[in-house]
Amino acid sequence: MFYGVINMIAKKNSYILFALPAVLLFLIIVVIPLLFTVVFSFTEWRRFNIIKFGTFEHYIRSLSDPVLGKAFIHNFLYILFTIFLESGTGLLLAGIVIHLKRSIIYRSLFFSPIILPSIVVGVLWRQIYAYHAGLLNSILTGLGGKDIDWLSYPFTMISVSIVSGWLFAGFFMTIFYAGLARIPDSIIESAKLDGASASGIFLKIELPLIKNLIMLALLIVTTGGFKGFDLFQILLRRDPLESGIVLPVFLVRTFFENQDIGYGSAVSMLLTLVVIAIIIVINFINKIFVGRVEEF
Amino acid sequence: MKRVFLLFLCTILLVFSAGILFAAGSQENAKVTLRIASSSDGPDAINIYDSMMAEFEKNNPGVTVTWDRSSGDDYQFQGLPSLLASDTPPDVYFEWGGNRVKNHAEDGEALDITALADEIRPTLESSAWSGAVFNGKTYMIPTNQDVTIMMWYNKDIFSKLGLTVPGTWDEFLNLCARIKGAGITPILMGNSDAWVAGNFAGLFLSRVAGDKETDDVLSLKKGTRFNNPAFVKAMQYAADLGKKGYINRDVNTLGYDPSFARLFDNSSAMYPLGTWFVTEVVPENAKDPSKAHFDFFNLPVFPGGKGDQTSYMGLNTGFVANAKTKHKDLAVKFLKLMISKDYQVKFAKIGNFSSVKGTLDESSAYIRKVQNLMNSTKTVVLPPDTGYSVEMAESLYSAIAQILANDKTPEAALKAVDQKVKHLRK
Amino acid sequence: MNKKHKSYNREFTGVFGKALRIFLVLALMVYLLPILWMYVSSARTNADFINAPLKIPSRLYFGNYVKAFKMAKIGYHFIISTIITTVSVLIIVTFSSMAAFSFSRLRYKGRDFLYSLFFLGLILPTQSFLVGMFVMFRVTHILNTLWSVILPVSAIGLPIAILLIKAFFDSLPSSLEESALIEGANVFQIFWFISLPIANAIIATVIVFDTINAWNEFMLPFVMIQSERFKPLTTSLYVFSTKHSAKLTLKLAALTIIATPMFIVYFIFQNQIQKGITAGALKD
Repeated sequence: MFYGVINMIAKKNSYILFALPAVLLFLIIVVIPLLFTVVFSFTEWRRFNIIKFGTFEHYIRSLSDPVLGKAFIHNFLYILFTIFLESGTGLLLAGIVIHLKRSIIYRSLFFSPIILPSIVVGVLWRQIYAYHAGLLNSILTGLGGKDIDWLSYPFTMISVSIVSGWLFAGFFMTIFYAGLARIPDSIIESAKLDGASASGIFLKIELPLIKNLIMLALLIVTTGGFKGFDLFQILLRRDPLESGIVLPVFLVRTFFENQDIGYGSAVSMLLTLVVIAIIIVINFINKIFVGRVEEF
Repeated sequence: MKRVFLLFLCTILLVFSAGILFAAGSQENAKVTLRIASSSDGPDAINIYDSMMAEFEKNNPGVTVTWDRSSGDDYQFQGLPSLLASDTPPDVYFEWGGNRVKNHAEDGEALDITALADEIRPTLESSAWSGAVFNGKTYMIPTNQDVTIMMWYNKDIFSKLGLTVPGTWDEFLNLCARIKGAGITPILMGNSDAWVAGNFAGLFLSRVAGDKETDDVLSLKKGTRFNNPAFVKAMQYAADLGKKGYINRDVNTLGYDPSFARLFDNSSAMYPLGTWFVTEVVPENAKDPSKAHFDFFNLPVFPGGKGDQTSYMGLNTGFVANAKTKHKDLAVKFLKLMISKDYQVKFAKIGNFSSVKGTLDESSAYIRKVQNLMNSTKTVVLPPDTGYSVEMAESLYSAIAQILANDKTPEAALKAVDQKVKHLRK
Repeated sequence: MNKKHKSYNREFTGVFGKALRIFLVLALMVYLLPILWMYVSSARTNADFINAPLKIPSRLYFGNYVKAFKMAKIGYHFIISTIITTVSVLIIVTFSSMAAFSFSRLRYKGRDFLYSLFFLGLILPTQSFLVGMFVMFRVTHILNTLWSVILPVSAIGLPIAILLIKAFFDSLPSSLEESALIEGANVFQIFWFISLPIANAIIATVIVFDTINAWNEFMLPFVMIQSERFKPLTTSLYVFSTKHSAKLTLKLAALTIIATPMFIVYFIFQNQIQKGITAGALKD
């Protein structure tokens, strides 16, 4: 975490009023509902009108819920794929773009999909993946191949991850590019003069210098993997095969469709715990392998 | 300090005044608003509803009627529950008869409209009331009687290939083989919303395993299991259809609505769908003759099936008045207007199977045929998603989707259903 | 960070540089193909499209746009989206700049605790409090109104905005503010007349960034708003996209109508947007 110089100018306890609107809004909308959810997860409460307190049943049930298990597996698959497709592609693009003159046009075009609303991306890609009259299958049959149902088992997760990659690779490229641009040109130039190869420069000089950003990207991809709802809902609709069900979608199904507030809360708690666990693990890895990276 | 406090106050005031503005903007100008909610309707039905709303507003000055059909396909599972939970719940809403109406009654979301029901009883078909009455009280005014699964087929393709309507399952398989041989997809389904194939193969269950037995399992009666030999046998029929390639490859990813295009362009021969498909075929007659060449048959006889082989899957649909409505009289009045013969004749004209006597145009061959289908059996099988618990239906539907796609064997898929509904059995 | 790196040369030239550039151009073409396809296909008749989805049409048909605009009621839902976005961004900007100012420039009891509270918002996914929030909104009758989206969108946007603005204040010396204090200005005046104008660059970034976020929000309106009257563009288009009457090319036309202004806005503000993202990442 980077802290600048703290410039305090005045001290008085009533100044808390400055922070109060933000704090209140945040408390009411985020913190209190979060506490509610914890409490609800221990209640038997369905269809908004039957309530019974003090039960661990939902957590016990979650251990043997096959769909929840599937959702977890899919979530981890999604994260695994997107690490490569989002941050990996982004890193590759940044590594190329940084060494080319007049790269701004590439950068802004690669970045552009991210500003599209997910509904546009989802409906567009649903049409690209469509079995009949879809872009991908049209190309495939044009090349003499056979039609493939891209959104069903076993392609579902990889297909959705590709859309994610398409959407967010530009985002990570921008982050990595900013990090790479902070490396003084003189370092690169002298390496070049010493006869280092392009891959050598990338792997031995540039990558180690932005490893804190790589850890950050990992953090964003892994925690973001547990937030992905839009693409799954729009691309897969009800997904009767459950070949692409992930935790956020599972949560919405249990809570909003089955109106099982208790179980829905328990699922959302499990999701929260997993996210926190991942953050702790990544921070731990960060401490061991990266250490405190000094600004240059 | 005073300034700081002032600033704080200003922000709060700003936000809340904006809030009041919104709140004021969101209230209708008229004093009384009657809210109606339904899933998506076709443009013809919307026209009739619009004229109905206009008449109602004329007869009840000061009342505005708003109709919300914005949830589309998500109405059943998400749109309606959320609307009912909101601060502006619908006063009258569309429902599928059966377990769903019973749940609304238990949750205090359905008004006891027995009085209205008694008043209009003579005008309705007597079979219309099943799924609307619980504990002797009526909670739904049934407007339609639907068959949810009948095999619609392309008459042109059938006559070109010299095919006739199959009576038995083996004949059906032969027919599929010949259609497939001609390079046409035998059975088309747009199952990305899970219920199309769920209804279709759901009927296999009661035909093969027996009607009472199936009802027991789907109601999660004690000692029953989904993974039983009869169910496995029934699902094996579905698995065979998938394995032999008689179903479109993208069955589980194709959307329900987009799927019709593939039926109308003659690339598929059959579609298992309900009576409402008439609205796609009949009114289009004049406008688009290419859509007029459809007919239907009931599912063929399953060899050695224990259930009634003449049964069909169907249910009554209608409108429920919300028990929490502030305008009970208006809601009841509106229901009365809706079920009046004048309007039901109009609905019947666009292909709805109205439950009001004497509304159906019996000169239409389609309608006579559907009536024959309905009258030829004593057994009406309820669709799993409206007749039983939603969670059970979701699990069963997903099993059926996996079986059709041959992702899982019938045993494995049904075993997974047992696992998923375990918590509902207590 | 603002160092000009033009004096040194890190660019690859020669054959290798050319090869890299060709690779990049090819990658870009693949990358932009879906969008290009969307634009071309949206201007075709449906029958034409179904028969040959890949063909470059000989004749363009622009009637789709008019039809899609009317059928999906894009004008109406555009206004709803605008209201949601404007109010959320206003709330985020006022609240977060005040809070960030106090976290950076003022001292009071509990300050560090309050600041650390917002870190919770950086790591928590929305799903972890969605259920509690829904129940709370239901009880307080906020559900199915615009507030049920505006409030959470604002609250979720606060932490990152506070972090960015505070970091910006922290990186600047406070000499201007201090001299104003000595001359007798009160803290509010300092905030309003001195600190806020200094921070306008970062606030502009926050505005652009949160505008895109609020505009694109899908999950919250999806679960909170079921009445057509209050649906923003995202969820109203979702419903439109599932309807039978919406033919494929009509759907693509609706997408095009939504995407085009986004692209225009992006190419105008792309510096701001990319800066916002890198600032967030590099500060973290």
